[in-house]
Amino acid sequence: MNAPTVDPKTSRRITHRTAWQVFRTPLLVALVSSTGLVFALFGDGLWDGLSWVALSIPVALSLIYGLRVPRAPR
Amino acid sequence: MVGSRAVRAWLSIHAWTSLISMLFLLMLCLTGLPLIFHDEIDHLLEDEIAVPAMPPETPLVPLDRVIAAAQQHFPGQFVLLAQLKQSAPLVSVLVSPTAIPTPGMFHRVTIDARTAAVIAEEPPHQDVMDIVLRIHKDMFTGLPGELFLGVMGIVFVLSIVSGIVVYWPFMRRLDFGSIRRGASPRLKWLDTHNLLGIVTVAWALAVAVTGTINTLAVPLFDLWRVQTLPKLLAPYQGKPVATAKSVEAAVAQVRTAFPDRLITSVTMPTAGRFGSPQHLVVWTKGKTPFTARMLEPVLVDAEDTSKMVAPDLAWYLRALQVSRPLHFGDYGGLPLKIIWALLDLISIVVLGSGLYLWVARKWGARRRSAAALVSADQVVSA
Repeated sequence: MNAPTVDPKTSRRITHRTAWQVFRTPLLVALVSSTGLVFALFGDGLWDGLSWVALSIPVALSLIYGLRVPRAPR
Repeated sequence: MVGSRAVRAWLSIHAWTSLISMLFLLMLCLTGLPLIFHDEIDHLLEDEIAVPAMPPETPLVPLDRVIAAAQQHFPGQFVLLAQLKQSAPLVSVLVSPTAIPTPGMFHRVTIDARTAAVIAEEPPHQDVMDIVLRIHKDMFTGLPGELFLGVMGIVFVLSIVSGIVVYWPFMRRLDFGSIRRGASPRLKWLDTHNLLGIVTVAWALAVAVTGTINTLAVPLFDLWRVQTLPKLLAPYQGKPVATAKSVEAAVAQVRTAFPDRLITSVTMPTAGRFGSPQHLVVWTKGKTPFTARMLEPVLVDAEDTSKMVAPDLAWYLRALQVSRPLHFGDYGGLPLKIIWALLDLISIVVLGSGLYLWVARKWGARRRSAAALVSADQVVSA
């Protein structure tokens, strides 16, 4: 489970996440992406629009997290 | 940290499947990028075909006159098929110098459906996008290359699945989305690789699986023909390739029998694998966005157009038909194509960073063992 242990090198507490905690967000992103993939198959207009929104989520996440400028060291 | 035997095994699977398919995947991602915009690029490169203005209710001439006009334009050659444009009153007729056409080696002549006048003619040629498509599809090697890329697709799927498995040990101590940008570029790229990989995993799997299915198009169609045609051709045993009595009559029959479908093209009787020697193959599609992807053939007897058969399309052909739009990303307008291209670019970064991580680890290991040798040497010579 969530067993806090102490890192022998830095004496800091490390929390090990469970599989569910690690995969929670990726699973959500995958579900939204999959929905985006199929919606545009079903129709035009609104269906396409929903697809665009859903499939931009992975792109947006990549840009947001990928291009985050590191904060200046204190 | 990455200690357990199972994790090391999965990491090994991930590394090997990724490395084996790496070169081909990079080629596929790079050629895939312009292919997403195939239509738009063709549009830019082609000359616009000017359709003569006429009152909108001008009736269409019988298709037989259109076919005759195409035949007259290329005397002695073979009319293969006629494509009915949905957006303009035009018919695009493909004519080949040989009875069985060579890929790419046919004339395409555009005919006004209201007057049977030839408006435009395209000689056999391959433009830039045709070349890019051939590299992407089979690296110019035909069916063997296509099937080989299908195997690479399966290897890629294994790489993705093993990548999902090894995501866990690497992310057990990190928040989702965190990228450690400290002194080590290796750590930064590891986190970037993991993040970009995991958020695009659904799209990547869809494109990989549908891409693999697409490589089976020729074998699957051949399988279906072998299962379907012999029964349909049995009554005609021993007859030569038929000449079509009337294409217009065949099309009219199909329209009456299937009022909720649109006619997309008619294939003339042929010994080639894309048609039947005794039938006109009338291809139809549905009127809704989803059924428009489901092309269904109706086989009309070439000599007696009252006889027609609409064979069932096998499940594997339906899977193939759905795989096309899901692979090309062309079914949701231009915004979807742009998103598709962005996801492709992100995948290229995932591939490149993966390669970097593997190389960096190998170099790191070699430097460590070289350093160990150097210090051992110094101890000995001191």
